[in-house]
Amino acid sequence: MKTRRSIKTMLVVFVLMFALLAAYLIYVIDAYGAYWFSSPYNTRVEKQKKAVIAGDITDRNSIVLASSDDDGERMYNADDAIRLSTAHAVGDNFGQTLGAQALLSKYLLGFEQNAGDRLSYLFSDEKRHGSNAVLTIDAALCAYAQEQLGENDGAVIVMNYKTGELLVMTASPAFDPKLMRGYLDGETELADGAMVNRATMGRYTPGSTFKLVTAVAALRYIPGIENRKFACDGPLAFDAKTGRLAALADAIDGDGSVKEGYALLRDFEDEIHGEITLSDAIAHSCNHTFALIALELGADKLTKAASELGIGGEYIFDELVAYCGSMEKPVTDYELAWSGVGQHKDIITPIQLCLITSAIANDGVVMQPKLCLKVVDRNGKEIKGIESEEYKTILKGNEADFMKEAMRKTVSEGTGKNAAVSGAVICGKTGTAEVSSSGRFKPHAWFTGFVADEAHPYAITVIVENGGGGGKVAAPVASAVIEKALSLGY
Amino acid sequence: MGSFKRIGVARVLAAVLLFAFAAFVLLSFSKEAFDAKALLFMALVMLLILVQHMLLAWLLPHGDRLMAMLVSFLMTVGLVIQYRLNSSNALNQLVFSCIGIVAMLIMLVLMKKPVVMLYLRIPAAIASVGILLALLFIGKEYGGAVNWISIAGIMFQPSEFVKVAMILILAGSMSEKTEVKKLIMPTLFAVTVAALLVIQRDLGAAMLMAMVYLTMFYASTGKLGTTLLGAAACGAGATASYFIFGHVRRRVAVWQDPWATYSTSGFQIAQGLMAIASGGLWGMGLGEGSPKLIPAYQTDYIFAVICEEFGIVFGIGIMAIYLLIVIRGCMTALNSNNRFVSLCAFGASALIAVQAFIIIGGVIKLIPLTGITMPYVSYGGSSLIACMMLHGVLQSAADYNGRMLERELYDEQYGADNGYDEYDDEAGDDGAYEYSGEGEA
Repeated sequence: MKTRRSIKTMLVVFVLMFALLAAYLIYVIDAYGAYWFSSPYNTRVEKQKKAVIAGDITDRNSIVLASSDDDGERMYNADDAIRLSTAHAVGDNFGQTLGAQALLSKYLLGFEQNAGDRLSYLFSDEKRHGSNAVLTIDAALCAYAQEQLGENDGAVIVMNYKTGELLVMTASPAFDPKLMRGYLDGETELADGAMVNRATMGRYTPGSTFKLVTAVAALRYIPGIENRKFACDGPLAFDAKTGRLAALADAIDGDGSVKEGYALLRDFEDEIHGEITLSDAIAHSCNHTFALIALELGADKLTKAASELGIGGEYIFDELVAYCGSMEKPVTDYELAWSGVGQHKDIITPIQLCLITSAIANDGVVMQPKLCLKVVDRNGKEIKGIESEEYKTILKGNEADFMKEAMRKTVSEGTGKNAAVSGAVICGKTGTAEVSSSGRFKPHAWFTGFVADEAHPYAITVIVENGGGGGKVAAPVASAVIEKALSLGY
Repeated sequence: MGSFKRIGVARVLAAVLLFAFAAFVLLSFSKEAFDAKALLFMALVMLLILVQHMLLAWLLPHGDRLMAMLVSFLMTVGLVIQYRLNSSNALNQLVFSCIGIVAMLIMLVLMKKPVVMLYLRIPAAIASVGILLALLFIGKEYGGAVNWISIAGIMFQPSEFVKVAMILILAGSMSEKTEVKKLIMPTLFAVTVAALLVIQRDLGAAMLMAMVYLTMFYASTGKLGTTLLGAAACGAGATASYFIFGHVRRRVAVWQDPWATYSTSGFQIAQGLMAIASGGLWGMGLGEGSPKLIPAYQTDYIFAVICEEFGIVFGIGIMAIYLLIVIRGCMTALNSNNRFVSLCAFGASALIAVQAFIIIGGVIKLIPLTGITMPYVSYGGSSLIACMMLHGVLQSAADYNGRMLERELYDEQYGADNGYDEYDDEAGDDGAYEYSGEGEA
């Protein structure tokens, strides 16, 4: 009965085909539905704005960041510092930026209201109101953090590494949501790139903060590395043509200048660290040691570890759009060495660095970052709470412990001393990312770290564009913001 | 085998009527002024459902009532959506539904004696190829494909009917022969049809025909290797068309990233995805969405409209209903001891399954989009009438099985030579149509 059997087989195939359709539909809507819905192309949102009065957006302490008047006109917080420092988190009302107004429009415009709610509006004369969204950010702290960046562009993220709540997400330059119509009409000047949320989308050279990645790669792929000693005796020399490691003596002239045909990989301010362990190499940010580790790892393992930490991946979060960093596989030894210390073509975003840091703080577990605390109706009754979710485990427990200890040492005795906060244990890593070979622009200053205290589980990432040295410029910003946060009771 | 459980059919019928009632009452209130026409339309739809139900009950005592109900439900969903989109089109669709029921009845008459269909297959094959050839010269372009024909002012799409013809033709040939070598003629026919469709740029229909041919080939011969070889050949053809035709390349590029070309070719897919995402699990509510933003919202993209207004859960329910129809169709095929009837039922089920898969998969971006209609739901006369003909094939196959079973029972009771010759048809008893044994080389 061949026919009977093959019809049965085909029936199974048909069942599988339909199961695939249903499973894919559920998957794709779960993963991308929020993106598609909040797409600026989705004119349904615009249409809904005319029919429904958008709900308020408040920070976690009920400071109103955006609200609507009776005609549905959008209004923003009157305090300039608060408005600008939360602009990227709140977003605009014209679909130009991916802030809460776009990402949470499902709630703000009442798309999620059930038939009963809708009918009750149908029979009343009142215009339909959307729900209110309570964000996880503290607006006052955002304003304080942005102030610390001073005149420089940059970003500050403070995230609770136990829950994923973003306490601070601020970026400079910022647009003013109040003036959005003017920007669009071309009547108001807008700083370059002010619509880009640098905290979640800024793609930067990581500099020495990338040593966290190289160190994890070493722990993972070079057994016994934590007990070895390296000898840092100054710069490493490379043959410029082949990119191979060369003897330093061949590369340098009598007067100390570099001979033609050679290139050097120097340490910050040409420091010589002498005999040094991996842990101390992190604390003192020793380029020499990390270049040698990168060479020992090889390009394959270094890029593999980076991708295991999420670099080069894609973030799909509920109601938060964030980009990942990337890495180009180095070809020559020279490129590999630079790649190991976060230069070459390594790229990272502040949010990604913050998530990697939070994994170190949280025994290897990354929590899904969240911007929305809850959705409430007009009377403040909670409609939808947003649960904290584990996003991924990217480190083993022993890796996280080792890194934590090295980062503690960084702040207590290494390059991150300026990040110290009295009365709290701060762990961190500094970074000074060279962005112009000519030296015309100052390097980007980085600091990423966390409070090693279960009662105050906060991770912080700071980037000050063209600010200078990470330890000198970014670490004090982090220190000030954490001190402020702790004083506010977080 | 044979007799189908009738339990629950009344309840399903009540549920379909209730759905129609709720939907049209809601639609009558959705405009500023009360729309009494919606209720009138509802009465007509309900009448249509009941008439189909009663006709089948009267004509086919052994028909598959549950399947008829499921088909009625899909048609009702289509009519509700059409009315919500454009009430005059909905009226057209209602007329098409009536013609569809007539077409279904014609199929029932033709299939009553399967042998008649067997004789008709050569002329049907010639007519199919002929009309597709003629399309090359007199075809009218609509929606990117040159596959429309106009007779006396009425536009129709011959390829829809060629699909039905192909099922019957392939079932006829394949029921007689199971050796691969002897299946050259039906294979040649299928290849010709698919090639003509590709030339007319009706890629969806070409893909559908190729896949249905392969499944039927596999079902009748049981030769997995040869079938996979055929599938590989189709794959090679598809790959070649990717490199030869610009529009195929564009389709694939749009499938990979519709947002990159949002303002041009990616618009439709992106709009569909946004519509589905806007609907969420439970939908925006009937009449609350903006389905008219999506190109082809009445036809190919009706699934996105359903998801936007009724929600994803409902959309998955629609998939489940297609699957139920397909499962019942395949059960009919398995229950039949007549090879031709069995292959007809299987072919019709396979066509519905593959067609629903191709269009729903295209809309949700699982596979590249090719424009074909969603069976029983999409707007369009040719498509609906052809689908109703398939329904006729499935119903008459179920009825045939029931009659054969009844006859067997009668024979058991009164002996074989009893003058009970009402069902005397050659095909049923002829050894050539029995299942072939394993030994056949």
